[in-house]
Amino acid sequence: MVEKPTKAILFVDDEGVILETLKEQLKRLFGHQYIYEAASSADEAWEVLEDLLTENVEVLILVSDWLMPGTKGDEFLIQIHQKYPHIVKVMLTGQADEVAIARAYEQANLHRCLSKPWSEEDLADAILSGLEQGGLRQK
Amino acid sequence: MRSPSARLSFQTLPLRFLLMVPLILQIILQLGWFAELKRYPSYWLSLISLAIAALVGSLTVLRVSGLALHRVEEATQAAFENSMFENALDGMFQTSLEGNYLRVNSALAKMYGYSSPEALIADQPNAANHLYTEGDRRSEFVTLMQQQGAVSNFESQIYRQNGDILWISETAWVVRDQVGQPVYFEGTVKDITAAKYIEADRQRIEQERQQVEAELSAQQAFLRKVIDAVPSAIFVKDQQGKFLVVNQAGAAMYGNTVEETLGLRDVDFNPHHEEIKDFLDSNQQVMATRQPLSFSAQPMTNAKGEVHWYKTVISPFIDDNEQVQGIIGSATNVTELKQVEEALRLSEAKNRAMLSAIPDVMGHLRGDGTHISYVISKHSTHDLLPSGYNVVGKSIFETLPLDLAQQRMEAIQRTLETGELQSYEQIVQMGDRLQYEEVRIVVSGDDEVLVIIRDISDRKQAELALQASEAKNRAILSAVPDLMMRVSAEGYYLDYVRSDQITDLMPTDYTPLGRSIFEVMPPDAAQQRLHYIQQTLATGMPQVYEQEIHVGDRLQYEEVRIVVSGENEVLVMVRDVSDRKRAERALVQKNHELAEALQQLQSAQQGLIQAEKLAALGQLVAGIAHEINTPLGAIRAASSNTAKALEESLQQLPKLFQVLSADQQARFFALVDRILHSNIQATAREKRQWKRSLTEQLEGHGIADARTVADTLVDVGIYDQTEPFLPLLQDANADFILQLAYNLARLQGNSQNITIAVERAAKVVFALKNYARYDHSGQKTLAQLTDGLETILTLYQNPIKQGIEVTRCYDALPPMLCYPDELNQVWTNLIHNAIQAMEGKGQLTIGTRQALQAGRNFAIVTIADTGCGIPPEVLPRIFEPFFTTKLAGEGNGLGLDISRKIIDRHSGHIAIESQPGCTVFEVWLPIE
Repeated sequence: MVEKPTKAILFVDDEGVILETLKEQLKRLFGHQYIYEAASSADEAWEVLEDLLTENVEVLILVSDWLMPGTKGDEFLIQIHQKYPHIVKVMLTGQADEVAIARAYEQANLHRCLSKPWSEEDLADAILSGLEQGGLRQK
Repeated sequence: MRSPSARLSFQTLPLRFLLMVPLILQIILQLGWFAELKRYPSYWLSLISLAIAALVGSLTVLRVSGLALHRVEEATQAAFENSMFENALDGMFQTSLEGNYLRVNSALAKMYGYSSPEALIADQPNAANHLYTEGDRRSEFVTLMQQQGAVSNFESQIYRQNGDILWISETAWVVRDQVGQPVYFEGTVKDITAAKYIEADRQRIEQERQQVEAELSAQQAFLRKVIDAVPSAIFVKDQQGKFLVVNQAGAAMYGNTVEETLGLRDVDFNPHHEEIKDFLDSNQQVMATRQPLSFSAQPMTNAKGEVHWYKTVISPFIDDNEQVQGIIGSATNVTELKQVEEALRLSEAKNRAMLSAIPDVMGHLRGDGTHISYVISKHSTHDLLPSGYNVVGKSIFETLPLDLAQQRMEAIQRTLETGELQSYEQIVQMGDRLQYEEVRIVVSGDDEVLVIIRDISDRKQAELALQASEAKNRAILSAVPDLMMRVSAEGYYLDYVRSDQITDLMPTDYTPLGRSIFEVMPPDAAQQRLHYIQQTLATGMPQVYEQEIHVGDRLQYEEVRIVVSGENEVLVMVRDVSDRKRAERALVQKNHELAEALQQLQSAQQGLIQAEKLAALGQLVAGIAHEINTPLGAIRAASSNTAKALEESLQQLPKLFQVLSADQQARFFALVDRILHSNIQATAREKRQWKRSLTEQLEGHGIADARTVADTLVDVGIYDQTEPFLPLLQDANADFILQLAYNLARLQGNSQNITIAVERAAKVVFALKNYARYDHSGQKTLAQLTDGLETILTLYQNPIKQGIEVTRCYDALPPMLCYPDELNQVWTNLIHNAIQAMEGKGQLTIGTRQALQAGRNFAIVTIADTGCGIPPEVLPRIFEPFFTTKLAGEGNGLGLDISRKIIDRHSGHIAIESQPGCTVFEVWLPIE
């Protein structure tokens, strides 16, 4: 039995297939050491964040799409950064405005921007480096 | 000498006796005789007889005895008289008839300043002559004595011996002898000096009193006159209101005289109780308070029943003892004043009404530009100031724009300097229009002007219009390009008007009047002209022909119009149409060029349509990339996941049969079976909820790390009814069992995801292919309009899903012959515009229906959005090529132009209704 996880990876995309496949991929990469939570919009992600906080679960990494109904990815990550600067932010998008990506790097301390379709290696690298950068990698 | 008294006593003696009779009778009666006699009346007669006898007897006795007595008397009489004479207090004298003193007494001598009567008599000649201060007084006295025989109280002033002056009163009489001859004068002198002085004093006092009285009465009369002369009523009333004093004006208030008024009260004259009550009240108040009261106008009805108005002042009438005795009042008839005031008020109201009917704004201003008054007519619409704004006391610099104020100030000063009316016009901005105003300024007083402002906008506009009209007429006249002439039926010039716009054949100083056209024109031209003149007169219809004239080295084209202008005469107008001719030729040339250009343009149009389509596509590419990359990402991840799941499960399967009992195996396969048939599509939110409830359930069953287990179960599609699988989950190999189930489930899940993703990508690619297709055959093909609409909606899925709700209202349409790819371009434009108008948020409603119009069956596609709408001023232009309201790069302004051309190619039409929040495009396409 592994230790009961208290760290989470949160990912946001309006496409259900992306959420499902991404979660499986992460789960296979990192096993049960993290809690994996999915949200289909920025608003929903905020709810999940609040829920996790009340359960004393710390979100380490947030992976977000850019082109979503409602708040766009860059805007969302900037808001997240303002409230939770320690969360490592990764963008995963099929198409993004270059200006928006630059803004996310600058104002949301974006760790990495991955484009769809992404490779498992790139994803793993982005997550691992992100965890290292935050000094938060779990043993 | 005999004294007068002796004679008198003698003469009166019988009378005395008679007087004694009653005395005697009384004595008799008192002796008691009378009583007896009363008892015996018969004795009365004898007694009276006796008495008469006694009386007669006694008279006789007396007469006898009287004569005897007379001698005795004379002796004693003389002694007595001497004593009386000497001792009398008054002066006494006896003079001769000539006036010489015979005898004077001591009193007289003393009176006259002499030591003794003898001294006076001795000084007689002197005394006689110098006695009286007035020289003729003595002779007067003597004359009186001689004439009348007596003088009584003859008063004179005399000199005493020592020269003092005395007033004396002389009484003298003549003493006559037995036969009546005057013997001497005898008299008394009284010193009346003291009495005279007293009398004089008294008279003086009386005189003074009379004088004072006269003066007083004069003063009173004067005062009365004054009071009466006062035009105001003056009156004094006592406490009961009775008139004590009233002047004529006061009495006249009731139409009475002063005498008729005095002692009466107001109520005696005035039957109007209200008025009287007011008078009484005010009188009482004045008496009670001792304070004056005044009334500016009190009504009072006179005897004729006319009401007059009085300005009244009443004061308390206080006597010397400080007691209020009544009131003093004055009243001035102000009826006329009141009438005048009323008239004035009416007049003023009338004036004001008149003023306010004048559509001018008027104001009095001081020389420094300060308003003294300001009249705004209710008819004046041209006031700059807000209504109710009080300008009095304000300067024009506060109420006017600076430039107008300065102009006004200069005019005011000029008016005051010259004393002459100044007027000028000004233009005022009134809201969104210009108002023309005429300002007139006249002197209205010392350092004061009247400013009258009139709105002359109408006049001004009329003037301007007139000017414009005149200018236009002049322009028209001067622009008439024709040479005009009146010509007779025979071809003689009757009148000739040149124009500066046609080159005349004749020199300018040549006058053709009276000459024939044949003298002036070339023969063939003249012949032609005459022909048309006659034609005109014959038909009565205007004739027009053209001619070519050589002017100098150039050919002038002329148009000649001929109309009947009178009996046997025509008006000929000749116009130089050389320019028009040249233009016509140029036009023909241009038309040719245009036709060629049109041909080129038509061939270019197809290319343009294609280019516009590609331009629209370019804008879509970004969204489309996302639409394709997203399923690709899912496919790639799913493929990688599948590989891992397969690899793991292949390793795990052999172990399955080793570690699980037969029962557990059965449970496991039941689990796998359930997983493979679950096929649940759920949102992330739903999955989280299931996970949460499942975690609680599992915790209830004592499962360790329930959260992770629940997460995996939800991942494989199981979120309830976990009881059959609890033994597996509670098993020591639970992790292994769950992971194997997960791997098996994910094989299926990833496969499904790949299928979904591929369909998504294929759909986009299909739409792209449909969109980009260009049918070069030029032949219409059968197609469903909704297919094309769905294609475009697919392409726009990305922007749409970011905030646009799409409603489809598709009525069934038969497949129709059309150019589907071209129509796709129309739908693209309309949907693209709709999305942009809504700025990515709103409702997009796509509808199809059929309708009959003008006997034709139409398919109608409706595309409605809730965006900002098209402004009315823009609406007519939206189909113009290159017209765009979009930012650079967002559109090329050809979309709607090309859309309409495409719809035209389908013999359809497009209709638009737009207002903010609802814009509807309807594309009507005939169903053939």
